[in-house]
This record gives sequence, C-alpha cells and structure tokens, in this order.
Amino acid sequence: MQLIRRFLRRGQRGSVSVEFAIIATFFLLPLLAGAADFICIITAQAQLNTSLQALYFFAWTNPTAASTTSDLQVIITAINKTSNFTITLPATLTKAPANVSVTSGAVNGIASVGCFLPPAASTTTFTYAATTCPTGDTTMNLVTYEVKTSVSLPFPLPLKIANPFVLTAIGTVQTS
Amino acid sequence: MIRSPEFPRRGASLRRFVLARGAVASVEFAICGLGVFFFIIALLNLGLLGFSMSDLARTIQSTARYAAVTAANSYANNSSYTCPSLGTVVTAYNSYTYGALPTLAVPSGTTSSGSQTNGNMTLTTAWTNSTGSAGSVGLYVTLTGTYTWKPVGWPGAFSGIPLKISTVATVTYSSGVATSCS
Repeated sequence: MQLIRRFLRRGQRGSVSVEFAIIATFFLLPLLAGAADFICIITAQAQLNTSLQALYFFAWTNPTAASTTSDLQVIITAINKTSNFTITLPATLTKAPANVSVTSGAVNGIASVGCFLPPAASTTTFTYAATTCPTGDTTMNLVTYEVKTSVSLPFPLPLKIANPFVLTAIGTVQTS
Repeated sequence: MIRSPEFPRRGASLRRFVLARGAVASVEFAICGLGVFFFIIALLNLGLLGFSMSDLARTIQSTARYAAVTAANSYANNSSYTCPSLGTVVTAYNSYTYGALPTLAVPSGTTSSGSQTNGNMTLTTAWTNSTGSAGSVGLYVTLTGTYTWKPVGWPGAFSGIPLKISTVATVTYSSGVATSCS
C-alpha cells in the first residue's frame, strides 16, 4: 500500500511511458482491432453487393425468369464456388424494401409493378401495386431480391455487435 | 582541442543526458511520435485498402457484364453464342480499372475460359452453359478477381490482405441455344 501511495505521490519518472501504455491499451489497440473487423466487414459487403448486382443483371437479361428461385440459386451457387464468403438466398424477404408494395415475409424474387399515368413528368406520382396497375396507367415490372452473408470477426467487440456478423443486402430493380 | 562544457566525455555525457530535464517535450514526442505516425500510416492504408476493394468490385462487375453482352451480341451475326476470348475480357478489365489494380498482359488465342496473372492480381474467367440441367439460366460467365493488397510503409513486413470478388453475368435469352465456347 505504501508503495502505491509513494508511486502516486512521488513517481514522476517514466510518466510518458505510462501515459502511452494507457492510451495504447484503451485507445490505439481497440482502434486497430476495430479496423481489422471493419476490413472483414467491408470485404464481405463488397462481395454481397456484387452478388446482388449479379441478380439484377440476370433480371435485366432474362426478365421472364427473374422470379424463378431455381435460376437465382444457380447464380448464387456459381458465385459461392469461387467466393471467400458464402452468400445465401433467403426463401423470404426479412425486410420491406422502400417505395415498393412488397412487405417483409414475401417470397425472395417477388415481382411487383409500378404504375404512372403517361407521359411521365417531374410531377408524376408513382403508385405501386402487387400485380396490376389501374386502367390507363403505364406499367413497369419490378422484382425484389435479398441476399445475406455472415462474417466471423477476428476481434469480436464487447458491445452489442454479434459475432458472426450478419450482412444483408436488399434491392428492387426494374425489368421492363 | 578545447572541449565545450556542453559536450564533455562520453560517460559523463550519457549520465548528464539521463538526468537532464531540458527538452523533455522533444523526447516525449520522439517516443509517442512513433505511435502517432504508425496510427497515421495505418489510417492511410485503410483508405488505400477501401479504394482497392471498391476498384476490384466495380471492375469485376463491369468486365463480367461486358463479356456477357459481347457474347449476346455475337448471336446477331452467327445465330449462335460465341464467347469472347480471354484476351478480349482482359482488355476490358484493363480499360475499366481506376488504377488501384495492376493491368494485365493481353493473352493471344481464342480460348474463352482461363486466367491471367500479373504479380498480386489474377483474373479468372469461366463460361458455363447450364441449359438442360439447371433451369433457364442458359449461358453465363463467372468472373473472379483475386488481388493481394499490400500496405505502404511496411515493405516486406506484411504479407498483405487477400481480396477476392466473384460475380456471374448471364447472357440474354441464351437458354436452349447452342454455344461455341472453349
């Protein structure tokens, strides 16, 4: 106890080293650990976004098959053969995409429509429907996809960040 | 030779240096500065890594779509799908990259599937015709870019981070149509 008191009162030598040790322990090392986790997450997110883009491109090039789950699975399986991360195609959507009449729980790859009165102008207000548009409206066909992956963090943070960390990408694309 | 009182003999000089209280801030900065510079270089490298990752993902996507569209265009001339050669795909890759990735030498020949490497960068192209066995996807290309990113500031001390992006691009309405790809 006396030693500690003496250290706290009189010890001035090596104060820089002590300060650096404190900063390194509570600031620099956690920051580097977070950076390593961040690298893993952004690489997984890049692969996830690329996979979603592959589904978009399939929908543009094969609009009649855009909602066929077996075809979507062929694409995801081909990607997973060479990818560092395992991309999955959930059977149903876990989130509701914005501005589309699709709710969470819908089948992955679900088709929907967007409706507007021609000619389209800056003041045109789109409406969205599940299958058909009101009579007289122009219809654009939409399809919504969701892909997921998970990444094991090398330095799991003692916060409310799950490990493995699950990443989700969801989006809607116009096919015609 | 007249020795300055500020520069006495070596033993005394070292002892005086240890006991001296002058220029403490400089000494502290010399110690902590190493950590600070390490931190700054780490931040710089984090940005470079993000740039490389972004460039890799965008370049692979664009190149795969170029390859698929080139194959689709061939149908108009030949009434069958002809896949572009690896050299054509590599040329597209070289034109799409921002510069964070190394360019690749363009191989000769008509072979469509294969890989091309330059140092840390490898581009692999594989064509598949799934007609008859896996629904109506038809002809598609799987393009994989593998790049071992190495940070600046640690030459030889760090083996690098392997980055890999893989994507698939499908050829328009190629299901059930004959292809001539090798």
